[in-house]
Amino acid sequence: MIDWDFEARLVDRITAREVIARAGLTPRQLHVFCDWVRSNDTLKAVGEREGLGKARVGQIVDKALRRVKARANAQPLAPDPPQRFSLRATPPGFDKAEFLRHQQFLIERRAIQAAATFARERAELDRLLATEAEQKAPGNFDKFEAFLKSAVKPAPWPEPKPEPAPLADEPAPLPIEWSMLEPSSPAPKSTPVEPWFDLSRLPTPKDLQALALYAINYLVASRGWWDGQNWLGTLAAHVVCTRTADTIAAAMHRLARELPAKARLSTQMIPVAPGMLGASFATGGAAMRVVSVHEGKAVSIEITYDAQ
Amino acid sequence: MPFDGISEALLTDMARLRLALDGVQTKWRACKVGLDNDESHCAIGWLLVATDWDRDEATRLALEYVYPALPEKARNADRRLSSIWEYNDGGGRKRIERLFADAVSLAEQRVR
Repeated sequence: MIDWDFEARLVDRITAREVIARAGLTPRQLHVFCDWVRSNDTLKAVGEREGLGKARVGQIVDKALRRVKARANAQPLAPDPPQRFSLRATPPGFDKAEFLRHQQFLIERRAIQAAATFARERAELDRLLATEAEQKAPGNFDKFEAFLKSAVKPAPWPEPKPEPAPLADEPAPLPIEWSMLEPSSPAPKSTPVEPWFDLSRLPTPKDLQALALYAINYLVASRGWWDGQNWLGTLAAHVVCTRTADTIAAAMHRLARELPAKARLSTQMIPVAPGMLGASFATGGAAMRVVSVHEGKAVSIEITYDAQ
Repeated sequence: MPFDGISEALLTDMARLRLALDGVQTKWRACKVGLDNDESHCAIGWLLVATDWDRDEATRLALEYVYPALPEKARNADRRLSSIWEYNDGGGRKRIERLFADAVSLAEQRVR
């Protein structure tokens, strides 16, 4: 059992001692009064111990008690206990509006400093490229600058939109000629030019999707079937080749041989930024992003995988 | 490891850093960025290649992921891009591979 009142009784006892000590009792009154309080005996028993009569002990105790009570009522001995503070209360003199204005100032200052740092480092990158281009050939920087400006710059990321329903006249998937896709066999012969292999025009995103499906199927068939993993791989492979069936097939055949034997391809699609002429496609075995480069003459193929 | 609910921008950053790491592992060089018709590039050059020569994106990746992955003594807050190419030119390919691997880890921590 826990004695919850122990502390309260202790405080009372200490308070009583302080009151008695300041009550102005004579030594005899103090001695008899304390003996009577501690022993809790009758006045006769206390008188026998002190060598006094019962009436005399009663007088001493009565006088001492009146002085102690007068002292106790005259002045409080302990100051008022400290008031409890709420942890959620604002401290005195706190101006919340000023505090919020200062926080907003700090946020804006940090944004300004970040923008200044970015501008400075961006200028440093321009200086590096200009110096190297001029060192390579005088006057070369203008051509390189034109190339950099022609690089497709993706727009800021928009809100994700639901995918539209597929149209009725979607092109059918490419037929896979399994008899020609043995790992040891050479690349297949050129087939009649499909729209996604037509070099006379820029490919559309749907063409690039069909091309990605073609490349994925050839890659997976060259490696043998492995279940893809539904997260982005820690390693990446990047192939740039001409946008023809032969070249892409040969590139995928070589990639299949160069990948580790137990590599697991990722089926997590690599997103294509808006404004970029590219497409992502995924099957159960792999995911691939195909981006048109060099004015539509070539494609950049990217996959991700884990070594095991 | 599920990637549901992660912003595509972070996913693309991770993909680009891994492409740059793949490039450093195969064709890395020191002392030159490497222009569009070069085969080998330095650390900054491979960031440019991975972002399809978008200088703004390459600078952002360098400042957000590659610079914080530098050792503390190699960093200079007033010359961040210079810190990266000086670190590139002052050592071998393996330490640049470690640098990009740490940058990829940093991107993965942000994803998580």
